[in-house]
Amino acid sequence: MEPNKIEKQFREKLNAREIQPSAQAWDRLDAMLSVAEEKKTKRSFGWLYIAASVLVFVTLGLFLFNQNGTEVNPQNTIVGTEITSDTVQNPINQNTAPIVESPIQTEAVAATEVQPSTNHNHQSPINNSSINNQGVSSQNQKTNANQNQIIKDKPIVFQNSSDVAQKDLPKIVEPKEIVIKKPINVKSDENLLADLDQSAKETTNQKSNLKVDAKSLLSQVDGEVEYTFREKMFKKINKNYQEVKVALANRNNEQGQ
Amino acid sequence: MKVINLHKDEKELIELAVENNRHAQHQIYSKFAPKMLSVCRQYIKDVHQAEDIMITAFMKVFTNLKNFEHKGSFEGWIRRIMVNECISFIRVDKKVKFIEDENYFEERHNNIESQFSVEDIQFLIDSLPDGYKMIFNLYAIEGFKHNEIAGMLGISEGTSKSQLSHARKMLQENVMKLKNYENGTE
Repeated sequence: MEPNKIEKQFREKLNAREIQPSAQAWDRLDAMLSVAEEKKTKRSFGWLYIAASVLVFVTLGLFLFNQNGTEVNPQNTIVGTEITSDTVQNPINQNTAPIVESPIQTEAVAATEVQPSTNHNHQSPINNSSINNQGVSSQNQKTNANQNQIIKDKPIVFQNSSDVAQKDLPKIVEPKEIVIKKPINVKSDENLLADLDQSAKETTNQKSNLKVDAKSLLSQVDGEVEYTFREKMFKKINKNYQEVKVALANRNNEQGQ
Repeated sequence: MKVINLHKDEKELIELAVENNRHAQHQIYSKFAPKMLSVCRQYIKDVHQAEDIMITAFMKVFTNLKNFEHKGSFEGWIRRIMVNECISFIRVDKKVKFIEDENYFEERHNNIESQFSVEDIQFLIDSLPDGYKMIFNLYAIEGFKHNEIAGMLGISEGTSKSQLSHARKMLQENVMKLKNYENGTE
């Protein structure tokens, strides 16, 4: 299977051969090369366009997302105002705390009223009151300060009860004290109302703060009003001018005659 | 020094041609086109068709020039592209298919000492069917081995061998005919 002599001769002669291509051959190749180059450049430009459009879309998207974010933020601030309203409610709770304290005391007083005779019963109302206090504390979830206040009130109750145990008459005094305390409670109610009013005012104030836009709207309206006023003035001036013009023309005509 | 300069020139030319320097591309083309057209002509009988294929192959040369690692000879690289282009043209456009045929015979070595002109050689090759021509060219002229040819054409090595034996037999018959014709005229 070795290439024989004829094949060797074929190879040598064929490899030595040169065939001159036609003159148009290079022109065709040149044209093909330039077309390929154009395609390449077009492709690159196309990529540029694609990249640019993608960039534009991305920036637009980011911008829109940011806008959404800013839209969300005001909602968050509104939530914040809601929280402030909660804080407004909290003082109310703080105010209610003394109110809650007074019934406890009344209860204690009621207990004292019931327990004038025996010392055994003295402990039970205290216990009741303490239980009530605990219940109240659990119900209202008071702060430690309030509880301390209640605890501070307890010894007063003790003293009262001991007084009640020793003397029968001071009973009447104690309700008086309660009566005295009651107006305080009324005062606390008033304070409550005041606080409510204040909170309402605060909310209204907040609304007024939001009315900054309304002011601008008003100013705009004022501007419009001014514009209409100007228009009216211009019309008037124009009318007067026309009248004067006519009058002058008439006079000229008369003079001419 | 001259050889180094020439090599340097070729390398510089290639580098310029990679950057789409039309002058460099034209220089490469005019240096190799006549030889490459001869290569294409071995496979394709019609000169104009051979030229078309040479041009498309040159396009591939220039578009893939950046991939040329200066390891082998530049001419060999271009020649390989030309041969591949011719093979794919014959296989795709002429729809030449090889029938798997493992039967081949040992040919007798009748060493014909007579000299042939290039035109006669081309005439003898042209007389072969496309399939035989392709394998004869690849094996006898380009110097590829059977396993390489089998890989290039997607056929088995046995088919390549059998095809070559058929081609050689036909070629010898044609050589004898040509010789008898020449003798007859003399």
